[in-house]
Amino acid sequence: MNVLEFKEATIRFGGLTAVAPLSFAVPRGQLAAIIGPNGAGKTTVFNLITGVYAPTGGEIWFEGERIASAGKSLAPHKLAHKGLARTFQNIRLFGDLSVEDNVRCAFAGRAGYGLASALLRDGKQARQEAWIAEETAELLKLFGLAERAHIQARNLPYGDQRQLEIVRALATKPKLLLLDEPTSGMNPTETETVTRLIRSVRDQFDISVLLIEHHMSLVMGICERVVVLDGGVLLADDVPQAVQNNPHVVAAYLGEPDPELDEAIEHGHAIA
Amino acid sequence: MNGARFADFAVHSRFLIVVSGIPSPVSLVMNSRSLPAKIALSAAVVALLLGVQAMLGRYFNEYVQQIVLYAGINIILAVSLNLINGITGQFSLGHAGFMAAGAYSAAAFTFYVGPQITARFQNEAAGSNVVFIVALLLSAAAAGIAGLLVGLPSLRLRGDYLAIVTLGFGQIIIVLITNIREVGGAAGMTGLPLMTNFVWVAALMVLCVLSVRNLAISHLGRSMKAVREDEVAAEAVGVDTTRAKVLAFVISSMWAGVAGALQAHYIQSAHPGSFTFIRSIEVVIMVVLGGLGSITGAVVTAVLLTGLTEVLRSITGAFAVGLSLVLFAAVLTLPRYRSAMRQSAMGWLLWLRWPLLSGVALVAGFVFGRDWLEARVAALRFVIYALILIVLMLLRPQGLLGRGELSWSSLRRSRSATTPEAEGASERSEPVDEGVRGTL
Ligand SMILES: Nc1ncnc2c1ncn2[C@@H]1O[C@H](COP(=O)(O)OP(=O)(O)O)[C@@H](O)[C@H]1O
Ligand SMILES: [Mg+2]
Repeated sequence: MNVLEFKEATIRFGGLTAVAPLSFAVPRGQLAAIIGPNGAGKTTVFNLITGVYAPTGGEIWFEGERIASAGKSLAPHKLAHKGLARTFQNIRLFGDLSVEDNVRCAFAGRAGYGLASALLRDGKQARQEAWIAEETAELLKLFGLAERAHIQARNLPYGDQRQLEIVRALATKPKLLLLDEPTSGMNPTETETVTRLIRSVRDQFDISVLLIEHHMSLVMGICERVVVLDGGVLLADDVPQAVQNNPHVVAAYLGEPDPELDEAIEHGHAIA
Repeated sequence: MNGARFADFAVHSRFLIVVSGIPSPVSLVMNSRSLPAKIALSAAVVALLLGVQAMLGRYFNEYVQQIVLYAGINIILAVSLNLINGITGQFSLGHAGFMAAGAYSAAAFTFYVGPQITARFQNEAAGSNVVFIVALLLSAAAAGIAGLLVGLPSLRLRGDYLAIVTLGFGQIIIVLITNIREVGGAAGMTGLPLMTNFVWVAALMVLCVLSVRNLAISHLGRSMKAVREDEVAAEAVGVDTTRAKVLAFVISSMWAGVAGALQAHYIQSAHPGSFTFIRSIEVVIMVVLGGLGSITGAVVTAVLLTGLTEVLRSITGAFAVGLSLVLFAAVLTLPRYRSAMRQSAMGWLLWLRWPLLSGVALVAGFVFGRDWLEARVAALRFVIYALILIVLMLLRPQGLLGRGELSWSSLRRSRSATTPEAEGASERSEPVDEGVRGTL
C-alpha cells in the first residue's frame, strides 16, 4: 500500500506553473528521493504534501486518505498529527529554545493533557511531562545530542542543527519523513554520517522516507526510488540505475538541450 | 584535587544545594503535586496574606498601602501581557482596553445588581464578598470574550497588524464607554463600593503568576514559545498556531479584566481616562524592561515602575531618578572603555563624557529650571520613562532578565554550575547566565 500518492496534483503561482499535474506514489516503507535542478519544484512538492500550500488542481492522498484537493488542504499541524513530518531546506529550529525544548515542542499533538491540567499542574500533567522528557532524552541520546540538551539551538554547530531538525521531526512519530536537502552545506564526512543516519532512521523507526537531494552519490547509494523533476514536470520515476541511464535525466544534468523536455514543460505534462 | 578532597567537596556542595532548596511558601504551592497539599498550602498563604494586611493597616499609612496595591495590580497586568508579548511573541497594544472591559462590567454589576444581592445576606461583609467574587468572574469573562472577539480574526495576521488591530480595539472601547450613559459616559462611573484590599490583590496576583507560569512550563506554553520562534516550523511539528495564539490572548485578556475590576473597586470609580493607550504603553514598557518572556522580569519591573511613578510625583524625585539613570548607564558602559582607560587618561574622559554631560544638564535643569519643571512634573514622568527605555534598549536590549527566570531551582542550578567538578560535570553542563538561567 502507498503511504503517499499524488494524483495529477498541480500548483500555479500566478502565471508560473511550479508543479505541473504530477502523479507519483511512495509505497510504505520505501526510501525515495526527489532530485532535479534548482527551481525544479522539489520544495514546492514538500509544501504541497505538508499543507503549506493547497494545490490548484488534482489530489494528494496520505495513508489512504485524501489530504488535499483543488484549493483545499488540511492545516499543516493536522497533517503533522496524522504522521507527516519534515525538515526544511533552510534550517528552521526554535533558535532561542534549548535543544531539549525543540524536541519537546514536537509532542504538541501527543501531549495528552489539556488546559485544566496545565494550569493546575496535576498528576496527569506530571505523568505526561515525565513521559515527554523521557522520550526526548532517549531520542537525543540516540542521535548523540544528549550532552547538548540544554544548549540553545542557535548555538549548535551547523551539522548538529540539521540533525536536531531530524530528531524534532521524528519526535512527532511520523509515518512519512520528508527531508529537504538534509546534507546541504555539509562536507563529505558529514554527508557520509547523515547518509548512514537516514538509512538507520528508516530501519529503526519503521517509517517511509522521501528526501530531496543534490548529492547524487547519496541518492544512488541508499535510495530505492528516484523521482526526477525539472521545470515542474516529471522527468523520470524509477530505480536509481535506470534513472542514471535515462537520456532525459542525463541531458538535464549536463545542461544539454532536450526538445522533448522543453515541449513537456511548455505544455505542463510528464515525459515518463 | 586528589580523590578524597574531591569527594569531600562533592558532599559539601550537595549540602549547599539542599539548603538553598528550602522553599518559600509560594514555590511550595507551585511545586506540590497532591490536591490536599495544594489546598492546605493555599489556605496557609491566604492566612499569611490576612496577617500582612493587618500589619499593613496597623503600621503603614494609607499612601504606602495604596502603592502596594497598585504594584500588585501592575504585576497582574505585566505578567499577563507577558504571555502575549513575551512568551507567544505577538505584539498587543490593547491591554488597557481589556482592562476597561473588565472594570466596567464588574463596576456595572456591583453598582446596579450588587446592592440587591448584598441585601439578601444577613452578614453584610459576606454579602459584599460574594458580590465581588461574581464581579471578578464577570470581569474575567467579559474581557476574555472581548479577547476572543479581537483575537480570532486578527491573530491570523502577523505581529505588526496585530498591534494596529489591538490599538484600534482600545480606542473603540474608549469610545463605547464614553458614550454609554448608564456607565457614566465621559464623566465615568463614580460611587462604586470599596471592595479591593490587599488580600484580594495579593491572592489574585499569586493566582495570576501561578497560572501564567504553569501554562508556560506546560506543552501549551511550549507551543506558544514555538509560535514566537518560528510559526512555519511550529505548524510542521504539530502546533496549532492559531489556537496557541488565541489561548494566550484570551487568558491574558481575562487577567487584564480582573486587574481592571480590582482597580475600579479600589479607587471606587471607573473613568475612560484610566484606560487609554498610555496605560497600555505603560504595561508594554514593564514587559519590555523586564525582558520579553521573563515572568520574574515582569514582576520586578512592575514593582519598580509603580514605585517610580510615586517618586516622580516630586521634582526632587525626578532629579534623583535622572541621576541614578546616568550612573546606571555609566556603570553599564564601563566595560566598553576598559581597554581605552588602561592606555591613557583620555580613556576615562571618553567613558565619562556622556554621563558628565547629562549630569551637568540635569543639575543645571534642577537649579535653573526648577519652577518651570515643577509645573510640568506630570509630563516629566513620560520623558523619564522614555529615557529609561532608551538607555536600557541601547545597553541591555534583552531587558533586565532577558528570558531567564529567578527561581529556587535556577539558584540551585547556578550553584551546582559553579562547582561542575562536584557534579561530575555530566548532565549539569548547561551554561549559566549570571545566575539567571532560562527555564522558560
Ligand atoms: N510562494 C511562491 N510564490 C511564487 N513562486 C514560488 C513560490 N514558491 C515557489 N515558487 C517558485 O516555484 C519554483 C519552484 O521552486 P522550489 O520548489 O523552491 O524549487 P526547488 O526544486 O529548488 O526546491 C521556483 O521558480 C520558485 O520561484
Ligand atoms: Mg528547494
